[in-house]
Amino acid sequence: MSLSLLRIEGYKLIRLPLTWVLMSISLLLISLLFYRLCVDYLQLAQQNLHLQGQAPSISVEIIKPLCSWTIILFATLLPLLTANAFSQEFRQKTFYLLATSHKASSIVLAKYVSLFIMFSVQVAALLLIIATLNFETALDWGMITSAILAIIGIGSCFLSFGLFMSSLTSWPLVAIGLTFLGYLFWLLLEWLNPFPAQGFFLAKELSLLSHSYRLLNGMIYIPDLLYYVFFSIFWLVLCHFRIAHKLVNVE
Amino acid sequence: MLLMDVHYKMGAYPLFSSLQATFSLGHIVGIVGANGSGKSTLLRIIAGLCSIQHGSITTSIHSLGFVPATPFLYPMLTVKENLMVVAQLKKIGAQNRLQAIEHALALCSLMEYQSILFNKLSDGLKKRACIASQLVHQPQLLILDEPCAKLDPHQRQQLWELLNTLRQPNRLILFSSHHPQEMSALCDEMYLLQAGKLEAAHKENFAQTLYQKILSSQELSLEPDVSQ
Repeated sequence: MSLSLLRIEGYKLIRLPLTWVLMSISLLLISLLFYRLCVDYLQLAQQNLHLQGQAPSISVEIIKPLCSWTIILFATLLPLLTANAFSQEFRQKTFYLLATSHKASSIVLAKYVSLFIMFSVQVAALLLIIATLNFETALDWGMITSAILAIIGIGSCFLSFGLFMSSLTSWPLVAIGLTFLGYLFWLLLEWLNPFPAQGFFLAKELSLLSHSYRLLNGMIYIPDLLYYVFFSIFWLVLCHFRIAHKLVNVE
Repeated sequence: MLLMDVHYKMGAYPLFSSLQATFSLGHIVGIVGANGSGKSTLLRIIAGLCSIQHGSITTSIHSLGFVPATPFLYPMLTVKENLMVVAQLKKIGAQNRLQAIEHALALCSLMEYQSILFNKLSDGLKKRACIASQLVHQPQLLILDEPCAKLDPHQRQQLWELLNTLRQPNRLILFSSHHPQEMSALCDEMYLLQAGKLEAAHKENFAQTLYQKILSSQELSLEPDVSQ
């Protein structure tokens, strides 16, 4: 991957008003959700202290639901960002610039890494919000780490799948729709259960959400993480083939 | 030097069955043809943006600039930022980058527009900005697909003058247009693309030869040349 291409992709993302709008919205919604969960927790803690003499776990009552909802939030917002990656380039004909200067692998990787960095900034903001609880109580950092890993893993899958969808069409709105439906499918595959009873196991194994349960509960299970890595690589490789084909058939 | 022997099918339709041509450095070459004759496809093939089924393109040229018919720079960036992006894409060293950009801007008379967003420019300025973007790395082969599309006669005249200033002994400029009479004053060689073949016209009477060929084939409906 060319560093100059990565710098350019990063610069384009920073100059895109949509990036800032999406980051602001996600930060606002995460903050509101965090506030709501804290208020609920305080009410529950008062009840529990009165009845049982013991406060409920912050990890279970605040951090886990916050991280779970953040995954849903990213599933809603990330298609808007990934759709811009290739669809908009095709539409604006700016793909010519990339096509005459770089290889498909460099282009795909630079776009993926720049989007991943932008996504990581949002995850870092989430981590900062959670860390504010550390002023009042001792946090279970092991559980927080595994929950953040779940978000990063699913986010990485979202980005690579979104990039591929974006490479299929020059209509950003179509790319957004396809990506969002794709996210829902991959997240809820386990619930949709498109396979008959004997295939349920496969549906569960392919679902992004089912691989997050252990991580969100504080258990780092390597096969779950490996699934996210393979899922991301699979869609990036498909995206690479698609862009390599586009490079010699620029419209 | 650029040697071609191109076979290209668009779907099942053979657009170029055995298109052969040789172009030399230092020349400005114009290609005329009816709509749908394959001018843009041919230029994209030469630029490496379209793969051919058979044949070969042999060249000693190592740097290429391609300006498509429609504007292709980032609308949310300024002209200078766009050129900066292209300079980085073309791997121009940081120490030479600014100088190369300013040289390209000056060549295309865009110094006063460098801080304006690309999508705020007029069609003529957009075209010049696109050409400037492809000049930052001083390409040996500059390909322009219908550079004067959507331009008024005055803007076209400015464009021809710009192309003339870009003439260099070690540079080949290849472009397509629907204005053979205007092109004839500029070009060293002109070709008519017809039925998948490139037919050369003699330098002395480019326009007449081309008009005769065009009229006899009755394939090309030329726009009235207002500037003449």
